[in-house]
Amino acid sequence: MNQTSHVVALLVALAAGCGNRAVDARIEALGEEDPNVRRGEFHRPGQPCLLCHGEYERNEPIMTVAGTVYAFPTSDDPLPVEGVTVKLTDAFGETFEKNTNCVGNFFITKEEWRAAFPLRAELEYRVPGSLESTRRVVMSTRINRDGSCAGCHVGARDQDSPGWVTCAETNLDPPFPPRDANCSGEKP
Amino acid sequence: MKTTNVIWFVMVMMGGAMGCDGMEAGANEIVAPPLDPVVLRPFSAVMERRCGTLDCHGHVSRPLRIFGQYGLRRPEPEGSPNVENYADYYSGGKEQTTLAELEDNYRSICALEPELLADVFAKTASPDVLTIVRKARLREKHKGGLLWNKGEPGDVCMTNWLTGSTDMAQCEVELGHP
Repeated sequence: MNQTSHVVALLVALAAGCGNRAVDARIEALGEEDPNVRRGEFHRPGQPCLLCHGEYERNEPIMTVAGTVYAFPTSDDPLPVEGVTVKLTDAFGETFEKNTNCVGNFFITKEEWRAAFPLRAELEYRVPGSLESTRRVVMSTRINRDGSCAGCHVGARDQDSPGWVTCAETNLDPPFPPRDANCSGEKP
Repeated sequence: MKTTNVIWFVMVMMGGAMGCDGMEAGANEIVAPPLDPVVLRPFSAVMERRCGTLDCHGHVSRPLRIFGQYGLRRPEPEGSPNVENYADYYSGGKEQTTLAELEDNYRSICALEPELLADVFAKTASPDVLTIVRKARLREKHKGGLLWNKGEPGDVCMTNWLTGSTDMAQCEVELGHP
């Protein structure tokens, strides 16, 4: 090999060594895509979006904050809620809002908002059975560095998770509407 | 050859055992602020709020691991005497930070730089020598950014506790911030 080949080989080796095995393992643990759901705003609800759509993997679109909102805590098959307004306030007091889609997903791209952490988060959802009445839920702690809701809010409530991001503590009366049958998207 | 190996093995084991005998009692003890839950709780509450969220120091893999009511809970089996109401013992649950969690937070903080902490507690060194103080002030690289400047309530809360003061009033002020 000549000198150029050595340099190229060295650069390739260095690039290969720059990965983060901890993050790679978390991405691998997410599993394969659901073949029934195309990649897009409806895919992989309840998963930590920024593992792939963050500065590490840089899959487009690169996101600042993203997650999935459900109706109430449950140990399995949580019910997504559409039209929830997710309102975030950053360290400089700047706010940004985004609504959830029919699988409960929302995401804010880097182009839309470059937030300065920590962030204050609140939800505003329509009260089921009411046309105009809404309720607000404020997150009890700040988001300090992980823009993926599911980085912390995953599964049922546990000693290392507050559980899914939910609108209410229990189902309401009248209840939250069922999942839209025409909505594309897999269950978590 | 086999006999030689056995002799070497026995000698190494005896040497190890003698080495253990040589450890003086109290060699691992450090001088640190006392573990007084009344004084520690408000300081710990500030650490839990500002540092111990699940995406920062509320994670088992993180140095300065912090347990708390709104972050990571100390792993406890059901029926543990450390927990009053197990149904509320989850991240964000109603069970307040337990005494066992307070003690673990105490150990986390003290074990970062024990010798320097002893100097700060004895007031033979400024709190500025401690990484925990500098990182919060962002005088040292900190992924979590600036928590407070020198002299602000959170900073006074921390330095008071580190220097053995029992005046925790500024911790309450810091907790009152939105």
